[in-house]
Amino acid sequence: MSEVLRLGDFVGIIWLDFIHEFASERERGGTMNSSQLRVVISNTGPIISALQCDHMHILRQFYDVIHIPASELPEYEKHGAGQEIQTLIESGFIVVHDDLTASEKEAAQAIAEEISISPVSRDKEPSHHYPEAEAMVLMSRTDLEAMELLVDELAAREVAQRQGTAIVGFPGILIRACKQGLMTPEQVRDALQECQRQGTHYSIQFIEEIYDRLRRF
Amino acid sequence: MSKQYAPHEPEEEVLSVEDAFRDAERSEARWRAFEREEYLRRVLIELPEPAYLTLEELARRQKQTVPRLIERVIGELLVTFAPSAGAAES
Repeated sequence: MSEVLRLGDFVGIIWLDFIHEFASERERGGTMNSSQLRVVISNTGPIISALQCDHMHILRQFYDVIHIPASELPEYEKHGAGQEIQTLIESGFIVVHDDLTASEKEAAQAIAEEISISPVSRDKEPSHHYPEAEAMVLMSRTDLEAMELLVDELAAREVAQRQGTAIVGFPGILIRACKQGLMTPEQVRDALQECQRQGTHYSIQFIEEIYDRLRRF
Repeated sequence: MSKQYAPHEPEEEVLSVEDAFRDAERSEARWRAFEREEYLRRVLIELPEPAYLTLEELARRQKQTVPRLIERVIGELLVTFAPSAGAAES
């Protein structure tokens, strides 16, 4: 009986939230656009990794829109991925923001500083961390409704977690794809190895351990 | 063979294996919750017009809003059925 009541409470709570939000929307003559987009914000690393191993289709399967700050664009150019990013922007999959307010830029400066002084950061120049700091600032924009921040670098992840930001790295995305049957453990290993071959800092042990655990899954 | 790209911040440490699996687990949970909410959103917003018009008419007669009416109906359903369902199971 108590289980049924708990279930009832659970169902009731969910319903009450949604009833108010969406029935009100209908009564206001709101849009009938029933499909809410799966929105995330990304730092440069995970997108470069997806390009390196030619697995952008996995990001496309999981997400509808990826927002990035404009400060990341020169990084993609530097990586030789300018044309690919431009194509993704034109398709609407990546949306670039060059509209940070003065206070948002100030917040990004502070975050970049915090990343640079992190004990796990080897690059102590704050300006080098500014793009990921701007990505974190975009996460705080409620109008974007972003669910998570794609970020791989340890120092940036630590700062994001301290701020309570939901994060996921590129390897985590591949693991999720494997658990959902979108990739085999071998494909995950091959993708990470290709990233490593192109210079991404995944160790052999890191890749093999992920592969072993996925095989046992 | 895929195109070659320059490595991104190769000097920076990246996440650990534990981090990667934790990422996957939490991300999966986040998006499962998102999809559950999305399903409920569809159920309500895409309620076929005659049904929604009926709800609107009922709400209007009772001088209530549709959200308030649905909230009350579900509340009453839970009060009515949850205890009896529990009794039937026990």
